[in-house]
Amino acid sequence: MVFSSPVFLFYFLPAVLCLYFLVPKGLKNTLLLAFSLFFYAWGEPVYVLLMIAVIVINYLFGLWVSHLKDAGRPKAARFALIACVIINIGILGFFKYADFLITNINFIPAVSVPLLRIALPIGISFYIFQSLSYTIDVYRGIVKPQRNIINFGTYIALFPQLIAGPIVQYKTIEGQLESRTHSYDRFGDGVWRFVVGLGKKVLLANNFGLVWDKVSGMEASSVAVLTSWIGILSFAFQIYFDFSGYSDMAIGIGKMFGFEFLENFNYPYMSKSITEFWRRWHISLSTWFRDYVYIPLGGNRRGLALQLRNLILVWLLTGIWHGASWNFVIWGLYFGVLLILEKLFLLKVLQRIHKFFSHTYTMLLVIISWAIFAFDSLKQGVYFIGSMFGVYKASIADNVSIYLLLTNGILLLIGIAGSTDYPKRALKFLQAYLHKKPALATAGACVLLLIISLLSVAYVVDASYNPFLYFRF
Amino acid sequence: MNKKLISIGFVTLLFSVSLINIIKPQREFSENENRYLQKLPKSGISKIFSGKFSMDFEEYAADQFIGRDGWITLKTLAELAILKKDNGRIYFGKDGTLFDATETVDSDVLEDNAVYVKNFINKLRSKTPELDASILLVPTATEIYNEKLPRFAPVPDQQSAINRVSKIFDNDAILLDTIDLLKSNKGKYLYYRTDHHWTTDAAYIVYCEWARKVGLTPLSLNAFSVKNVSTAFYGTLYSKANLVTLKPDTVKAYHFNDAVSVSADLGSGKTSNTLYFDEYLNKKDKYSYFLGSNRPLIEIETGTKNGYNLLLIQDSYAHCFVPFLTQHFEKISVVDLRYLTIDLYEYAIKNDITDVLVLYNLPGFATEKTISRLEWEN
Repeated sequence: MVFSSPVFLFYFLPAVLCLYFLVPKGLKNTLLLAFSLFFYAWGEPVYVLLMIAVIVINYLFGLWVSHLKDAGRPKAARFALIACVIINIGILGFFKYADFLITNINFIPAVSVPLLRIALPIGISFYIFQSLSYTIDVYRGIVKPQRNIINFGTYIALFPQLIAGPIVQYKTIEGQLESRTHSYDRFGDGVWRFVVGLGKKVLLANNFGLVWDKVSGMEASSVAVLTSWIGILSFAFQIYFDFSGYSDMAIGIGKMFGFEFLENFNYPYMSKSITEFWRRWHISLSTWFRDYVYIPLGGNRRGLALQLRNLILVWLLTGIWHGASWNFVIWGLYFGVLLILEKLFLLKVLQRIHKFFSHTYTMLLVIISWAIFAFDSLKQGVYFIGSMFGVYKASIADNVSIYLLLTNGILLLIGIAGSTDYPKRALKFLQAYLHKKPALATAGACVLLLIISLLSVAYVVDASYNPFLYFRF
Repeated sequence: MNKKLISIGFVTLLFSVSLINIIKPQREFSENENRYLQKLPKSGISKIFSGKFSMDFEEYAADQFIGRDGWITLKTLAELAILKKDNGRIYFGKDGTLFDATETVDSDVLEDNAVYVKNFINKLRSKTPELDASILLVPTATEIYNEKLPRFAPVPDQQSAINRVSKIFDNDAILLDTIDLLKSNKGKYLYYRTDHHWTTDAAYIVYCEWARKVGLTPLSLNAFSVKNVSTAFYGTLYSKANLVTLKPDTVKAYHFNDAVSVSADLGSGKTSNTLYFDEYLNKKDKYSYFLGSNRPLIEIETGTKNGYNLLLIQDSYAHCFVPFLTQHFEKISVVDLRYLTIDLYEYAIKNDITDVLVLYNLPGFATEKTISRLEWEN
């Protein structure tokens, strides 16, 4: 089930909200778990069993690891942890990467292994990573093992962040699983975040998606340069508003139920270096890799050579986390190399030049990365990048580009403004200005929310175009 | 900011819409979108595990949403407000004129189809040397009224497509270039604003020119009384526009002043003594007033006794054109290759066909994959 559908908005959400606030405190997590399993089973009626298995396995391993530690057997505890990591990675590997591996093995002459053709369980990369954060932190003694399987299940399956993140680390909501407060303040903030996120997804991302679909469907060698740029900019805005919109909705729904998740996006397109971009883009993923791969490998504490190895490894994994395909590997390595260059010397240069240039540098490289990301086939991606820089005989602009620009110009301007923090700052300013007139501030907020909600519902009802971008994650 | 008010307002709105959706009666058919709506799906173990139930239910929730037509109009208005000029299916042109945004000309298909037609005509001519053959590829509104299209909207070049075809036919058949003819009559009502067809007025203009080209005397306007048979026609493009504020079209019919008898065999045991089907005027699809719905083969016996038998290979653009032909031919066989399952050559020989007319809309002809059926043999 996706958030931007009538089923979620007008069947699932009212039902779960209504029952959640009716049941007594002790049953709230049970209710959330039941609804979360239903939410998952709606789209994956069979794979919900896999998710339940993951819950049970990690629950038991958590208890076992902590038991061994308490019994003064650190080696056995380490062994149990490694077994647990292998099982989790094994599940992820089997369901997500088996066919990719087989396809590549089959390139070896005289080898022909039949494909397994396994459908990828939605959200598997998110919930496996969440599970791993739990057991590893139990081993490290950062968190206590969760003895209540309902609470643990609620953590893994919690529907707001289940299918598109953020990757919530157990330690950040350990306490909230046991007890959390519900207040109008938090609920109201949740409503605000949710509506803004919904608007980002259905009003902006889906419309940018239509432009990108049109442009990416054209023959790259005959596409005018301007058309390519309109197309790839649209993809950049689609993926940003889609992904950050989902995170906003997740954080918003979380707040309605009393949870506080960490932020996942922080205006990445305002970055002035790639290093900064990855501190602002999909924060929960880079934090996860930092805490559970980069630092355990030694991070930057064991000399430059090992640090570079660690960086490359982390970015290779980050790339392939996004999908079992070579373009994601290249995409990850592309960023790995850029980050290394910045670490070695570029960052110092970027800090010295005017922010216009550092920002242009960053966005140019990010936009090129999206062309690698967007096409499964590397060849197609390279062709597309070629068309962006006028490598083919096509013109700079033609009727198609001018038509796309005229009919999507306003949308692009909204996209540019919407990916900066200016709208937020303007709202903050207005709020401060209306400090002494709270009724006016509330009325203004209500009108804004209502407009976004009504338009979003209009788009959701005409569900002719509502892609889900994370089916490969 | 009063967050209590925001919280309560949100929950109230959410719950009321949800409740109304649950208790409101289901709609069967959307006149506006011209399609059947999804009703509450039945559950069942296999349907649930295959995920079919969830998918049907999602469609149901969207289709049966309270005030659906209003919502989707709101969406269209929002898009028009940010200067969008198409919705992927149609262009929103000037003066409430809609255009099909999915029209294409596939040069390969176009040339293949022209060759199929040419071969068919030559094959018939080897048996019937005096056979008259003509081709009418009617341009669509995007070509004739291109000034009403959104600025710079990409549409196929229909003139160059006609030129391509005319090279292929050479002297084997009369090919009428109707683009200039229709463009010089632009002031008239040539295309429906909300439908993908041409109007009867446009068909009459082309009929006159065609008749002169093939050596017939076209019937003058005096022979007809022109009637507005409907002033409330919302066509196929309207159904794709999702904009209820659009104005309807008028459907005209050119009825003969002197009563003429026709008897049409519609196939599958159905007959008719008129080429006009009044019952469609009360339905959504008012263009089907002309010749009814699409059928593989309609055999029309006219009152005219002159021994000329016409084989008309066509799409629905011909439906409002056929009545003009009844004074010139004794028998008219109207064939729609999309539904045809017979050997057309054999049929033509058996029915003493003396004339062949191929009438399609141009983008239709340039993408149609069934013209190859002309080569079907039993």
